[in-house]
Amino acid sequence: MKPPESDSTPPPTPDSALDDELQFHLEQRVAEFMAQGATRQEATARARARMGDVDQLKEYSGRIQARTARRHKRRMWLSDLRIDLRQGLRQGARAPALAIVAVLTLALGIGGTTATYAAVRKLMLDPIPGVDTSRLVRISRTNAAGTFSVTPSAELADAWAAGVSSLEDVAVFASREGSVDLGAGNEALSVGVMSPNVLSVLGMAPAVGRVFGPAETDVVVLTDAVWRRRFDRRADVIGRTIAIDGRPYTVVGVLPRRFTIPFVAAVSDSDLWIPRGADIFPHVIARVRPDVPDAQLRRELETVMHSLDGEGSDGEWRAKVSHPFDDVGATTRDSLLVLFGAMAIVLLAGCANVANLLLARAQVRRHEFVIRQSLGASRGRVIRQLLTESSLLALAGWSLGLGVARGCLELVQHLRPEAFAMLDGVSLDAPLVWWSLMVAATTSLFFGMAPALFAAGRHLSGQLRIETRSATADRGARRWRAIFVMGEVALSVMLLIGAGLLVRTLVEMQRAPLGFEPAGLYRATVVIPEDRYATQNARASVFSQLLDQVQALPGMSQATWSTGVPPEIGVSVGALQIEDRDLQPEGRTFLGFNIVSPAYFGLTRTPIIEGRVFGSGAASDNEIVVSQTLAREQWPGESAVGKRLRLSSDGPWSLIVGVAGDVTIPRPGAAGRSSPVSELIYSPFTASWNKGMLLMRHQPSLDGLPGLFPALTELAAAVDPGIKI
Amino acid sequence: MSRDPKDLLHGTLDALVLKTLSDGPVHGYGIARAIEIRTRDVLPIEDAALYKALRRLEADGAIRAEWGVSDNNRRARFYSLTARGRKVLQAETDTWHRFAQAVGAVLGKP
Repeated sequence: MKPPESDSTPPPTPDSALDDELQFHLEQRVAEFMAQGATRQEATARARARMGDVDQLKEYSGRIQARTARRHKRRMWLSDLRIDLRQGLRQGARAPALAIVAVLTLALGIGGTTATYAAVRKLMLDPIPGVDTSRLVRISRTNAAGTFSVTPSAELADAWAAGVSSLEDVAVFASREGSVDLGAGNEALSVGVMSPNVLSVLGMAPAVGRVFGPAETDVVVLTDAVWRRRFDRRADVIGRTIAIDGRPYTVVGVLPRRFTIPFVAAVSDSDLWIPRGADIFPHVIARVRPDVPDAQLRRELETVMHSLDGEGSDGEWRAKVSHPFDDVGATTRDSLLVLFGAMAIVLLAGCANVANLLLARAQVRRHEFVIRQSLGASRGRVIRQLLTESSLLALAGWSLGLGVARGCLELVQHLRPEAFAMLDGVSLDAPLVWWSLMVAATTSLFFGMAPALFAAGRHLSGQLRIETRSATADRGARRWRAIFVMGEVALSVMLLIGAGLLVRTLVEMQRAPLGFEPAGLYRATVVIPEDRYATQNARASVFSQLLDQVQALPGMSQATWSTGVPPEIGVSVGALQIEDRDLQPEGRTFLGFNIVSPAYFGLTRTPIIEGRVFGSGAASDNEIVVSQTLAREQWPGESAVGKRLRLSSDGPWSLIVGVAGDVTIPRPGAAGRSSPVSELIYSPFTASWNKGMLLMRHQPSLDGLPGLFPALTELAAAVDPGIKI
Repeated sequence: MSRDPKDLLHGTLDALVLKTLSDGPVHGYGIARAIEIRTRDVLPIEDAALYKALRRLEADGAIRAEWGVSDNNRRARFYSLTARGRKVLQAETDTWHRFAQAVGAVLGKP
């Protein structure tokens, strides 16, 4: 018999022990009382009386026994587990190569699956964890064909908020650059403007403090990222004053960490948010009343829009309603699902590999199982032992896989593919960790079952002598298995490489071809004080003065003025007229419109395919360059150079002097694929406005913006302190 | 596990049982007699209550039971103290002394 362990309760005694014991007790009592002179009858009665309620005692004893039995079972289970775990670790140490390969395979599979699941969850299932986004929409304007979509004016947004009854609440926001002083000097941060109700429309509450009220102006709300990085999450940030563009703002709150705008087309990377001004073309998001169909909402939006002057009262503009996942786009969605599937295959192949490895190992360990079973271990017990071993592998793979997933997510953030901008801030949160643990548990069953069943197989309960006999014959089989295993490992590596390529393709697809070279290109929006530079000449002189200084900056290879660079360019809505042609306009035309200096083309590497760039100076004022598609569409089979066109029926004619290559504006919103801005007109930069975009190509050696921005502000201040950058 | 309110002085009874066993293994009846003699029959302990205490202590690992042979050559279940039981006894004794002292301080010595 096994000696009882000091810390474990012995197995429960059978109930009959109590009966025997009480029998003995009563007899002793009777003998005692009879010795005092009582008759047997009296003594028995007194003994029973002395005993008390036997039934209750028995019930009590039964209860205690049941409890002890339960505890014992649990203890046995735990001690078995301890033994199995120790055994598992020993197995790992005995065959470390196997353990390492298995753990790595599982880690890659689990990590990859988890990371892609994070993306799937964010872009297709649940954009903001814990927030109901089903009634959330983004509204904007689009042309009749649906090829262009434009954010509404602030006036239209307000009209929508006031006049559309199907909308519960309407919020607006926009981004702009800003020079922000958090207390340690100016730095370029992205400043967002928003209406006070953005958070409540999204269904969130501020993490600290409050959001500004409707009438407040000089207050600011920080994002969690800024709060964390710059203020160490200190609560006393509330009430502090920070300067934005030289104006003081008081911090009143911090946005929750999960704050995000769940629309790809309206994604925001603003670091701080201030109340909106009037002069913006904001993104509009809204919470719709329950059970309002999109068509009805669109009708209501259009009614309001068409009743407004100058907002396409002729019906040319349509309202566009999009839901969080509409913006993701079919291509992204498909790629993501393919990627997720590939990752699942990696994981499955990993499972198969590990199962194979374990099976091979189980064959080697046959001897051990035979001995175990012949020593009385049940089949269940052997299965359990092996499942514990595979769980250990899965657990190790899981913890390493979490690291892999984290790395993948960080890589995505680092690459920042355009269509995945929404993935910013996606990190391993608790639900994801649980999800991956569940995956790991499932996989451990997947790959652990076959070896376990094999080990507990009936054929093993035979004789030990089989083992000695087949030791040599087995070697061949083992070699085959090794080859098989190597093949599977190779397969899973291949799959993984394939998946990696897929990611790369995806990234490339979102990026190229732009038609110009964005790397090393920086832009800064410059606003000069209108009152001081009232004439075009004055503006032109200050613009050129600033440009000379900027070009002299170290590391600056080129700089030029324009009003935009893709994807931020103007749109001209009007009737295109072409000289000497009786063009019957089919309504309005939507043309991309960019006002640029001659140097723009060289700087952005936008090729001139035909003709020349317009010159600088007053003589060139009416010269323009058109895009290839526009030229081909309007003058098929002939050269566009030398032709004249205008955008309004009473304006001066513009002479086409050159044709430029098409540029692509990534628009994940439309069809999920970047669509080229097919028709684009470039006209000369004439300083007719007090605002310009400074485009710079900077040598990549200098680490770009961080050093560039202060230098620019310094330069601008030297030219005129009133210039805003 | 909640204690049966009908158990007389169960905490104290446990202590008495443990104390009795501290001199060596005794069977159930022997424990009952020893307590009766030492308390001069002042405490009216039902035998059923004693056996409940024994079961309870056994389940808690404070005592251990083994079948043996009694003085009159009968099969009897002998209980003995475990290391854990010794610790419990020490703790119960200390508690009791503190309790008795406290009550005594209020009520005064007889």
